[in-house]
Amino acid sequence: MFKNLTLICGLALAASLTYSSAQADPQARAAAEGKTTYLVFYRNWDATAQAVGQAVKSHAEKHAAKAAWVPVGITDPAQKALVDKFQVGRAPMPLVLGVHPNGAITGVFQKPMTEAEFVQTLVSPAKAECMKGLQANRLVLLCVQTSAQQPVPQGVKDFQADPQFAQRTQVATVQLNDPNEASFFAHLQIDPQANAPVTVFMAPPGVLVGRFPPTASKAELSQALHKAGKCCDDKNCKHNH
Amino acid sequence: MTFMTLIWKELRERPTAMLTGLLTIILGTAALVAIRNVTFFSEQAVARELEALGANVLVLPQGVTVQDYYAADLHGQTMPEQYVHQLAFSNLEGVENIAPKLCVPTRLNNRGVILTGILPQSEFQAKAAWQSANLFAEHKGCKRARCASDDPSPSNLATRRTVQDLGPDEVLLGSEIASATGLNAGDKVFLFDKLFTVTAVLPAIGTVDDGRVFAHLHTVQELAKVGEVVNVIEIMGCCEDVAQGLVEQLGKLLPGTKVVTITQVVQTQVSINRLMNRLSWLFLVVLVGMAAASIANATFANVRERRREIGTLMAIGATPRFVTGLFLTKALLFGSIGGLAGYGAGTGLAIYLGSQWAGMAVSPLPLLCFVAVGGASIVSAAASWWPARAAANLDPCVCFQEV
Repeated sequence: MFKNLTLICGLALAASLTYSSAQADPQARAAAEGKTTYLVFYRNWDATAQAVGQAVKSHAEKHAAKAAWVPVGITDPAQKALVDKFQVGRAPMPLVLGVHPNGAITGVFQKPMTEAEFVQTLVSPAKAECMKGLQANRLVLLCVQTSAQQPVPQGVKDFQADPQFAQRTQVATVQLNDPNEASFFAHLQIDPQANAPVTVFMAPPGVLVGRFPPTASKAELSQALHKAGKCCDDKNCKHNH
Repeated sequence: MTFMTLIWKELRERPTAMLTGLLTIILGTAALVAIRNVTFFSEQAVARELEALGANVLVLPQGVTVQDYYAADLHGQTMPEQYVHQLAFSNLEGVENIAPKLCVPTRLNNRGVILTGILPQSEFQAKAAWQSANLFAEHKGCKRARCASDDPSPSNLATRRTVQDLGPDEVLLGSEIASATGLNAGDKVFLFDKLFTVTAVLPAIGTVDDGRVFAHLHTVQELAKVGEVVNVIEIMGCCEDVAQGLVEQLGKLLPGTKVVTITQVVQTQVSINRLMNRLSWLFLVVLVGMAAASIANATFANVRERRREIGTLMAIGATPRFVTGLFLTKALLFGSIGGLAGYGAGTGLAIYLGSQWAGMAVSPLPLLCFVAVGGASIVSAAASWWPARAAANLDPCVCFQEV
């Protein structure tokens, strides 16, 4: 009984610490609620910063279920942790960062954003996962599946297992019939009506290496990646030497 | 008396004509070989320089003049470090790396050195990646995918003018300053009364960087008490074409700065190479024309001089084809010897001029030998064709009448 009581107390303590941390960090709080947080960094809350902040505020309120905003003074000691986390202490101000709950930066703005620009930063879960991987300088293989039971293609597994790529590869899966990902699929030029699984290969800084069928081998993926490393047809380009 | 015996005998009997003809070919070939040789190595030198320089574009404070690219950051003027972040956020196409620098003079072991503050790539690569909101565009232009992991080796600074990571208390030493002070990796040094650890000694690259000490930009700013400023921002573009487009975009993004491409810095040399290249083609046409005319004239004179001889040969059974062959074979012989000698003279001239005038090493190009010999032979034979045919069409009776 004493053991159970200890366990319950420990869990309660951990929960309260997490809650306190979330309360102290507004971005963490919003992330816990599944919202994209718009951090408005400013040096002085002058007219420019106010204009940017007001734009963010109005957009966030319009999309309150998905978005929250937080003004962050970079000279405020209480906000130092947040400033250091994103290393924006020396960036031009004001600066708006859209931060997805998974930590991916979905948008960077230095002037008042339009509604269209704002909506573009409210990304779907799969897109956010891909962006996070790319921002962490990883190769991302997104397996678009027609059913949850579908396995990850063998070529993808082999690619991920290759020592040359193992440390830098992230594999993600998404269901083709997920309505939340419709805009993402449109961006990737994937037709949900086609009902065919496909692997989308992406590489940093944000390059679409290619779309591959499930039968694509590791060799095909590797070849496409190296081909993407070639720059352009400019004969003076050093990457073509 | 064989065919070749006739030719050699005639050459021995008329050495002056032979020498003047040969000289024409040698001089023409030598000039062309020298120009092509120097142009080739000059273009190579410029390409190597562009490659070694790494950065394609320099962003400098307004009013700074660029006399020496390698010392472009020693002007003392500054601009806000914010510009670096603006560049990172701007997601300009073709920008591979950004390298801001701040140079301050200091002393190391009682020796004056330039302490160069550099910003490790890891500190703002993430910021550049934040612009991946426009993801998944088809690979166009020069948005190259980074296939391999970034090289974390500090010696990257020597080759690509960037370094992936550098701690606030770490320094990198140029090869010259390291050998002058006897310092190695792992040693401790004091700069501005602050203790640093030497992380690595850079390989020699033959620029002013060999004599510099590199530390974290923010550390240098703090020690020099100059605030959040830099002297120069080097931007590594993907291609020369991209660099040209970047100039305009950078001018709009950072008004009040001076944007210079490396091509502009080496513009003089590039222009000279281009000029020499074009002139060499012009010289080729002119010299070939002059040589052809000279050879044709000499051959016509030779035909006139040998009318009786030709008439005699034809009278005793030499065919027009034989007579034509005599002159053409002699022309080919002149062309081959003259081409070879011209190649030798031209190469020697190129090696001398290259080192004396252009300050670069020039070495022989074997391929040019074949081109010179072949070209001289063809021109010589072509120029001699008409006089040879005229000789072949001579009437022996008319020749004998002149006796």
